[in-house]
Parts: sequence; C-alpha cells; structure tokens
Amino acid sequence: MKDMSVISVRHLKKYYRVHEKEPGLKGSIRSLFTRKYTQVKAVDNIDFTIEEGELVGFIGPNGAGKTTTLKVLSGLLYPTSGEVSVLGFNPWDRKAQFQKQFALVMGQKNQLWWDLPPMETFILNKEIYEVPEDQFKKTLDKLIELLDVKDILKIQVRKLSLGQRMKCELIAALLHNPKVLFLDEPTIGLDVVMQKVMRDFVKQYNRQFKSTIILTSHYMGDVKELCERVIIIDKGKILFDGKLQNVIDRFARNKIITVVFSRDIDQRKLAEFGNIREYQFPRAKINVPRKDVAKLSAKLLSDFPVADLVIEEAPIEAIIREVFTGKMKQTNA
Amino acid sequence: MRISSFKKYFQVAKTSWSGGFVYRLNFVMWRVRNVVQLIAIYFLWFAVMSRNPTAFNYSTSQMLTYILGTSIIRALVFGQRSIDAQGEISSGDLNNYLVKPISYFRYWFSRDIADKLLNILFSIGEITILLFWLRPEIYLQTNPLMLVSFLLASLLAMVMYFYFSFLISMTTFWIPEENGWPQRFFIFVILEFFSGGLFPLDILPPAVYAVLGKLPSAYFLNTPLQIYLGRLDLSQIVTSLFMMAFWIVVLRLLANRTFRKGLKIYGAYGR
Amino acid sequence: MKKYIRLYIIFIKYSFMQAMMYKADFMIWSLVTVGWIFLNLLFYQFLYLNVTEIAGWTKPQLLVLLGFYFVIDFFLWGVLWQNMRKIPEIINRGQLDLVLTKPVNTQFLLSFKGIGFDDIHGLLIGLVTIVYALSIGNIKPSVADILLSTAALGVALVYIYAAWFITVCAAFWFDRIENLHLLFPSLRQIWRVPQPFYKGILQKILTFVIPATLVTTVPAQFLLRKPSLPLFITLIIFAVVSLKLSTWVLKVALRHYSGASS
Repeated sequence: MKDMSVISVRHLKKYYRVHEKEPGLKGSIRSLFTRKYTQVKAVDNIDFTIEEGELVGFIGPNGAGKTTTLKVLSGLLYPTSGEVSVLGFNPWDRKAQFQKQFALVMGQKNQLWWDLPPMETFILNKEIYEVPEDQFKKTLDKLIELLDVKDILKIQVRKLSLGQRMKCELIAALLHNPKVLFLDEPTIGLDVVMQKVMRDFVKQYNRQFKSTIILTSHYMGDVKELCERVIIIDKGKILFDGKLQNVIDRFARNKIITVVFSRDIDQRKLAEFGNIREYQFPRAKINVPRKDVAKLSAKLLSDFPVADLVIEEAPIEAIIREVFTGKMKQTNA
Repeated sequence: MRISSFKKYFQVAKTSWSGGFVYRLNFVMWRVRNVVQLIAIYFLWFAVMSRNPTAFNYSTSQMLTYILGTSIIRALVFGQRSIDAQGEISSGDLNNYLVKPISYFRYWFSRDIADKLLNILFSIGEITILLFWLRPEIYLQTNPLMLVSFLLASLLAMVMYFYFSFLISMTTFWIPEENGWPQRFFIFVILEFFSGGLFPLDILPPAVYAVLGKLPSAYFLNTPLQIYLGRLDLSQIVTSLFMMAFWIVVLRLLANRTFRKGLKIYGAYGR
Repeated sequence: MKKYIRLYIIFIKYSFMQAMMYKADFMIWSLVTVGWIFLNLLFYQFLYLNVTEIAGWTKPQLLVLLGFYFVIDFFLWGVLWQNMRKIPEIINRGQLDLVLTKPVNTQFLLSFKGIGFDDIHGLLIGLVTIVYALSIGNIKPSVADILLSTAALGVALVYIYAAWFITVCAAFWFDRIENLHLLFPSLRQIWRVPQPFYKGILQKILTFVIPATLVTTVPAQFLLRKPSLPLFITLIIFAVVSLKLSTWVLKVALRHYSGASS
C-alpha cells in the first residue's frame, strides 16, 4: 500500500565522499588519479512524514543538513541509503510529471534571466511546465496582485532590487501551481519590511492553495510566524520534530524571573537563586529551573524587598540557540 | 518529440533570441572582432596569392572564397551560447534546470540555434559588404548536388560541434577551476588551426593532411568548404558525410554518458 | 616617479606570489600560450615552403615581425589584460571609490595593478624568434637600428596602452558592456600581418586612423634596415595624442561618474 503522506522520508542517509583536494588546477588534476576521501555525514538517518497542506520549518545551523535534505527531496542528490517519496514519486527519477508538481526556490540562486524583464522568464516557464494559457493568466494575475509587482514586470531583472527580484523568483516558481514547495532561505539578505512581506505571502499562499511547504531559514522570525511544526536538525540528525510550542517544554529547562526591587540588595545573595542574566538596579533577570519556579519566587518575595515580579518563558531563539551550542547540557540550571 | 514539447524548446530559443538583442552593443562588438580577424586573414592570403597565383594548388578565387566562407560556416558551427554551460556546472546553477521538466542538452541546443541564426544573419551581411568593397574573384558552385552536400555537411558539422563542445563543458564536473576556461582555451587554440579556420587543410603536406584531415576537428570548417569548392569527389563526399554521422553518434553517446556520470559526482560533492 | 616604480615592483612581486600558488594553472595557461605561438610559427614556416616571398617580405623578415607580434602579445595579455578586464567591473560594482580615495594616481592604479605571468614565454620566444630570424636572413642591424627599433616598440606599446584604456573607459557611460575589454585587443590580428599587405583605403585607415598595422611593422622595419620615417612619426604622434587623450577621458569620466552615483 502506498504511503498517503505527501512527503515521506525513511532512514535517509546522504554521505558525501569529499575528497581532500589541494586548491587550484593541480589539485583537480591530481585528484583525477588518486583520491583520498573523507566522509561527511550530511544527513544521517532521518525519518519524517509531511501531510498535505502542512507548512513545516527546517531549522539548524549552517551545514546541519537542511539544504541537503531539500536537494534530495528535489531529486538533485542521490541518497546514500533510505527511502524517499514525494507525491508518490522517487525524486531522483526526475520524472516530468513529478517536476511539474513541485518547485524549489533558493534564496541564494536565481532562475530569472538576468538581461530580460521577469515577464520573459514567466512566459518561458509557462512553456517549460506546459501550463495552459488560461490557467497561466489566472495564476499570474493572482500572484502579481498578492505580491504587488505589477509595475516591475517590464523592467530588466538586473535593475530590480533584491526584494523585487525575490518576489519575481517566487512567481516564476509558482506559475505551475506546484503542490509541493521547497523554500531554501527565502528571506536571506532581505530587509525587515521585505521579510514580513514574504512571510505574509507564504502564509497566504499556503492557506489559499493548500500547498505543502517546507521552509528552511536562519531567521527564527520566519519559522516562528509561519510554521506550526518545526524539524530541528543538527549534524545530520533530527533533534526535534513537532509543534514549535513543544520545543519549549522539551528543551527549555529554565524560566526567566524578572524582579523589580524597591531597595538596593546584595547581589551575592541573589545569585543563590539562579543564574543572573542581568542586574541593573532596580531590575534583575534570573534564570531559574522550571520545576523550582514556584518555590523560588515565593522565597524571593519573602527574602527581598520586591516591588514587582514577572515569570516568563525564555525566548524561543535563545532556547534553540542553546540547543545548538550544547549549552543546555552543561549548565543544566 | 511531441508538439507541446517542441513549443517548449521553441520558446527557449525565442527568449534567448530576445536576450541576444538586449545588449546590441555587445553583439555588435563580437561581430566587429570577427570581421577584423577575417580581414587580417583575407589580406594575408590575398598577398600570398597575388604573387603566387597557383601556389598550394589553389586558384586565387578558390582560396579567397574559402577564407570568406569560413566566416559564415564559423557562425553556423561555432556560434554558441552553450559555452555558458561550463560556468553553470561549476557554479551549481545547473540545479535550476535539473528540477524542471526540461532536457539540459535540448535547452542549450535551442539557445544555440537562436544564437547561430543571429550570427549567420550578420555574417552574411558582412560578407556582402566585403564583396562589394573588395571585389575579389569568387568561386561560385553551381552543381546542385555539391550545394546540397555542402549544406548537409555544414549542418552535420554544427551538430557534431555541439556535442563536442558540450563534452568540453562537462570537464568542469571534474575540473571546475576558473569555470573551465583553461581547458576551453586550450581547445580554442587547437581548433583555430586544426579545423581549417586560417587556411584550407589540404594545402598541408600530404602526410600531415592524411592525419589532420581524419581528426574530428577537420570536419568543422574544412570539410564543408572543401565540398563547396568542389575539391572532393563524390565518393569522398559520401565518406565524409558518413564519418560525420558516425562522429555525431559517438560524441552524443559520450556526452550523454559523461553527463550522467558527472551528475553523480555533482551530487557527491553537494555543490 | 620613484614611488610609482616602487609600487609597480610590489605589484609584480605580489602577482608573482599569486601565480606561484597555483602552479598547475600557470602550467596549463603556459601550454595555451606556447601552443598558440608554436602553431603560428609552424604556419608561417609552412607558408614559405611553398612561396619565396609575400608582397616583398621574405621569411626571415616576416618572422621578425611575428617576433614583435609575440612580444606585444605578452604586453597585451600579461601586462595589461587583467587590469583592463577589471576596469568595467570596478566601475559597475561601485568599487571605484576605493581606488579614488588612495593617494596614488588613479589611472596608474587602474592600469597596472596586476601582471600575469602565463604569457611570459611569449616575451622570451618572441625575442628568440627575432634573433633567430635575423641570423637565418643574414640581416645585421646596427646598434642604432636596434635602439631605434626598441624605441619604436616602446612608442607602439604606449599607443596600445592608451588606446585600450580609452576604449575601456566607455564603461563609465554604458553600464555593462560585456567584453568591452576585448574590443581593442581584437585588433591584434591586424598587426600579425605587415602594413604593406593591406590594400587601398583600408591600408590608409589602418595606418592613419587606427594605426594598428604600425605597431609591429615600424619596429620590424628598423631591424630589417628599411625604415620608413613617415610611419614612425605617425606612430609617435598617435602615441602622444592617445596618452594625453586617455588622461583627459578619465578626467571627464570621473566627473561623469561622481555626477551619476551619489
């Protein structure tokens, strides 16, 4: 029986055999004859499934294996082992029927023709993906409206700003109404306003077209705002797969207590409560273990002249940063 | 090929064509360089032949026709955009095509066709101007059989060079330095002489011609023009055409296999 | 002046160190250069197997000219090319400001910052070709001939540099003309052939409008003991005027540049 999920990945491994190569032509020529390989485990035995209409965020530091995974899903890389199925296809076969149903957008690469207005690339893609005329018109009009790019369609791509270009890249990728969309760092290099425009668009697109989207990003903001579900990858392994909210329960062993004192106090005494993040009279922020929050805040109130006290979760960015840097294990406080 | 699929590659050629017009100045400059080179070679041979009208077993009109003819055949055979493929391979932009329902080879072939058309149009215009200006004696081939063979040989040369050039581009899978320009230039230098771009190869000593004439490079310019000048008899023409067809099959096979092998390597390094 | 010589020595040293880091690249490019020269020599060798002279030029005479062609090729590709290639890039990417703020002559920095060693064989083989051709032709130039020939070569190089620089400066007005830097060197095919080979109005154009034919012919004529003073003077005039013009064009271009950006 076929898997019903849109994307299913089972025991996927992608090891690169990177041969150690001296720089320059000499290295290349020598390596044609003798090669010393080192193995890089870019993706090391991961499993996940994604259902139709989901919007999933991949997060992880550089080299964690995010882009490699997307490339395997797109059929650009041949997996070392494991099973991958996207829309019921094996991506590596690169069947036209499969290619017509998905799109890959890489924030750092462009597919628009540099010397021509974006409209030319759109028309070319219409032919490449064999999109019927009326559908093409309808989709294009809709996308132009959503992204507000009517005025720039006739301007040479090289004269567009990065933000405008990225919008057109998205349109070029979406003209064939892909059911599955892979976005690799779509907001990289964009300013804050443009980042928000892109996020709103992705959200809206996902809702309106019921498309399945995987998004990788460095910016937690992207993920926080768009994705209910996140997959955290580091060193080729999945550390976490589930609701973003659950990341906090799983990894955040600290809460933050912010206290406002009415009189100056002895910092050393305060340090016994937990890790002081900052102290600037009259305000102090302290990291305390989750399980002790109630007990410690009661003790704070009784031991110090407290004017105000607030208990918060650590910000998600900080939690994830700590997951990656491995600080969690050491401090464990 | 299905009709819808033909439309796809037609659009590629069309887009490429309009891309070529965007930088008119670029293109004109490229043509200027071609004309300058042609003029230099023309006058060299003009000087040679005017004092030695029968040297090399060529008449003056045959020799000058050959030299001017290389300009048009060059545009047809060597005119290309697909040279950019080597940059795309070494930079990773190749990925853009791999995710689309389009064949990389056909894509570049379509773009080449557009480029060749543009170049041939200009080349014919340039030659016309040169003919009116310099008024050289020109050898006119009137035998329809020869003309058809000449046309056929030119088209075969074009396809042959396409696969040949693609093979050179694909060396960047293994040697990506400087976007593959060192190996490309090496080939350029060799082709300049061995394809018959500076002189017809059959003026070389028979022993040398026996070798050079058999290399694939000789088919690019030398063979079509020899046919035009009526210097090959029928059996030689048929043999040449067969050899070209043979080379096309071999080069195509080689190109396809290399591409598949290259893609595996490509994947292995995660570019 | 001393400062500029010192600077140029540093540039050469730096370029050399860079070249040595990639020895194989250097080797391959050398192979391209030497292959080109070798095939050219072979071609002319072969031509003269069949004819004794071409438009009054014997084999040794033409080989002398070819030697100058190789030497100039080194100047084109080795000394100038990588600088000329970068000028449009520097302008279009807005990196010119970095050059302009340095307390060094802008034209100097733009023109002579790097030097390529891949073509240095051209220089050596060119000189060897000239000496060899003179000996087989039994041509014995006097010391004065040699000095005049060297001077003529110098003048030719000045002209080539200045004219090339002027064409590349077009990048200030036309953004992104790809291959602009290749426009001028395409003339090198012209000076592979002696000036007298060209006929009619073209000869006049290539002598008195764009004196491309003179850059090899004039130095060669001095060595071959058949100097043409009018041609030499023409070349000198062009060199001086082009050099003046190049600094003027840069000045106007910079004014245009500062008006356009900002």
